[in-house]
Amino acid sequence: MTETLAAQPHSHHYHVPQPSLYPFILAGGMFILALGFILKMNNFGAGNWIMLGGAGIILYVLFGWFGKVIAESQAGEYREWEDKSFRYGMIWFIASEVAFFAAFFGALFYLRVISVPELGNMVSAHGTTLWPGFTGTWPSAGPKGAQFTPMGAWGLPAINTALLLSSGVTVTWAHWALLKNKRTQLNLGLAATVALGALFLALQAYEYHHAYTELGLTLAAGAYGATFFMLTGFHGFHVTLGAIMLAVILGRTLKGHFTPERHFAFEGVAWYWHFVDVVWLLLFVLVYWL
Amino acid sequence: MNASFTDAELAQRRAASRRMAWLIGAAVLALYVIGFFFKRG
Amino acid sequence: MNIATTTVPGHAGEHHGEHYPGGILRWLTTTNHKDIGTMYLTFALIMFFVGGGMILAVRAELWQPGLQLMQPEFFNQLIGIHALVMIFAALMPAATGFANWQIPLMIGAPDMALPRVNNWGFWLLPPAAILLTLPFVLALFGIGDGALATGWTFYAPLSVQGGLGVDFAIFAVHILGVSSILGSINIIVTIFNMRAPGMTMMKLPLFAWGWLITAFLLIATIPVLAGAVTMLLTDRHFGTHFFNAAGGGDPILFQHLFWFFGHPEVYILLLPIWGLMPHVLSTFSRKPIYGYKAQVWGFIGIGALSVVVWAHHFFTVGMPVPALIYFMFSTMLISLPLAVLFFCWIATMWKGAMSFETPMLFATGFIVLFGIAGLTGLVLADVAADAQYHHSYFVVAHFHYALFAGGIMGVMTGVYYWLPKWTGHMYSETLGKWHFWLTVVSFNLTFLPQFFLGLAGMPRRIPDYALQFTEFNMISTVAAFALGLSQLLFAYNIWKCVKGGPKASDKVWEGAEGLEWQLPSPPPHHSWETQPVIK
Repeated sequence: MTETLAAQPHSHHYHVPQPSLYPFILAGGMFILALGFILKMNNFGAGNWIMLGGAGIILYVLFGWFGKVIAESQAGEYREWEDKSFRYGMIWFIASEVAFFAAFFGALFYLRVISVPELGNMVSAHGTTLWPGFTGTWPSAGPKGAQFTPMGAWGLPAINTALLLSSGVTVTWAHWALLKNKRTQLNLGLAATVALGALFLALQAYEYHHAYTELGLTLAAGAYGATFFMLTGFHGFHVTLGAIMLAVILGRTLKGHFTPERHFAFEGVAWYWHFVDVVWLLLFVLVYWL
Repeated sequence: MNASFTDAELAQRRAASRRMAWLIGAAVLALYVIGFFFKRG
Repeated sequence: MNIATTTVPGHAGEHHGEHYPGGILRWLTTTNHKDIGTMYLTFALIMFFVGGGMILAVRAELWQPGLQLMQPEFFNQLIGIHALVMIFAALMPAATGFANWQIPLMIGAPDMALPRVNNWGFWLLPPAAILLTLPFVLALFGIGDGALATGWTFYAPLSVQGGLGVDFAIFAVHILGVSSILGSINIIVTIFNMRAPGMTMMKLPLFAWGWLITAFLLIATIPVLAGAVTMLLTDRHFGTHFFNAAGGGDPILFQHLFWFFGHPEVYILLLPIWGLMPHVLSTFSRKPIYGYKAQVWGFIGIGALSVVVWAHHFFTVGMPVPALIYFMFSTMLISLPLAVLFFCWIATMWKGAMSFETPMLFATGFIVLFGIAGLTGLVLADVAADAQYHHSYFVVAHFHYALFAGGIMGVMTGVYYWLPKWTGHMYSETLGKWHFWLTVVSFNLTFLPQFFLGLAGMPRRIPDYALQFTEFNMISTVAAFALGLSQLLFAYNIWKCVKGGPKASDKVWEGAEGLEWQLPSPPPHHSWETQPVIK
């Protein structure tokens, strides 16, 4: 794969960063956040405050560490060799995210195709059905679940699909502008992408509110409620992260960062955004529509 | 430790490992064949 | 594999005005693959004794029928945390420590590709270990009822109903998972992007190949485990019904998700070992590695098969017959590429001028004992026979042959093989040989009886047992303590070797081949800053 490229030794030394305390502090912040969350869930009063402390530490590191990397990048310490490492790294990070969502899609498949129908068909030794009146058809909250109205596909979810697909277009427009060094269009494209992402999140929040208050559709609404909220919830969380990252990139383009040749950070975030887009399409079809 | 052998010693070790391999092979084969003559009680 | 190089000494003297913090700060802040490798290996050794101590308490309880030392609840906590500690905090970090030290040296790379991420990956481990074991301490102060008591598999519904310890274990697994993903990404990127010029993928050392497949498996399966324990968490605290039939869920869904990760995990633990074995066998047989390409394809084949066989861990739970048959045959299919590896290991030794320094003793011991693991695994894969073996001590014996004789003895092989390179000193060969023979004898005395116990019907994970199992349990307990004590020799030998000892040469072993042996022992802080060129 890299035979022709690597036939010659690299013209410079690989950038091995100086010792840094950030990774250690980040690990500590994650520990404190997890500890606080565990205590909170088990009704210990201090949990909330410990969580807050952990989150604060993590935020501090995110600003410091990313700030340092951006500064190193602007100082020209990264060249093609390092750039390639970042690209490979981002690809395999996204691959791990795919596997994470696969677990929840797998659960949806199992509940919908195997466990719910089976519960509907269970016959006891006496020839009566185990759960009288339960048919095992989807959408389902299970034999003992609460009544709820499932979320329709062609209202807000369809609008949200249009929003995310358009945001995929605008981020590609921004990339094209970056390659052509058209900075105004680059900034406009990125701003539009962030705005579309934010609008998507606002509509999702409205949809959740609607589900909880009017449809009786909650996390506790059996198999449907659990898979609906966990899948869309983790997706929404990823959209939030993606939108924040895009906003950071927008801030950097406004400051004049990136050249048509060198802009890994932009591309990495764009890949992430497309990944989030694809997950939504699967969600739209498998959770809302079918 | 960190052995360094003469050519003669190396040749001797090659021969020894070969003998040992045949020996282990024969033992395994013997076990396999003997297994056919065991009947469950 | 022949690597001919035009050796440029890969260590430039001057460094662009770098200064390193000393003392503890050196370790907290380091971005150096050798420092990080050392931390991984040290952590693994410490946790090996922590996990070992737990299981010795369990073996002491099993000395006689009846309850002697502890209540069943505490017994259950010990076995589960023992497994999680040994798998996630001893074996996996040991393998990652090898990767950190060796992969850059072996492929001629100046460091790992993402050095700060590398350090983050390591420093996530101590917090995770604290989360795993903290509930034991909290229980002493009357907070909660102790650690995870479900065994390491977290099976629902027990884990849904369990106490505080389950939440701690869930987040420990999350943090360990993040660490594994970071390590895997780093290793993949390093292998793809940092190889010396001219080192094509088919010239890559087998150790790096083994780790590459491991890293792919981690990226594919660890997130699924994270998803599974997240569903468990929401079932426990946020009202979801993933594993609860009342809401249309199913506890068996948890088993599917867990073992989709859990089975590949076995190969995650073993592939780095299979990668280092051929190097050791070739060195001490003074012959090139036999069947390099076959072994690469063996790794790939086993890696691919490992993600499609998971349900053989719960044949008895109730599955349609076609599913049983599929999972039985796909599982048995793994023995084909594995047999290729065994054949290559033996063929590498065939007619070789062999000598038996400690690493070679461990390597040959590994082949025999891991062979027993493989063969007993084959009978477990048989659906009809598994009905008798399932959840018995036969399974316990089987996976300890796989993970102690296959995993931990493999790690010991690597430690003795590379320790002189890392420290610049030779370890004590006499102590090493004592360590090997004591380990092998006491290991077999510990676990061989458990095969018979399992066949006779003794269930695993139970603190009490029927009278007729007493003798074999006593043998197993005595031997387990001997096995545990023998490991003190290992720790002492390493300690002595770090502190001093006869000077090791650059090549260390007469028959050694590969880039790492061209560097001094120990290698300088920065090695291969100018990459070697492979022809």
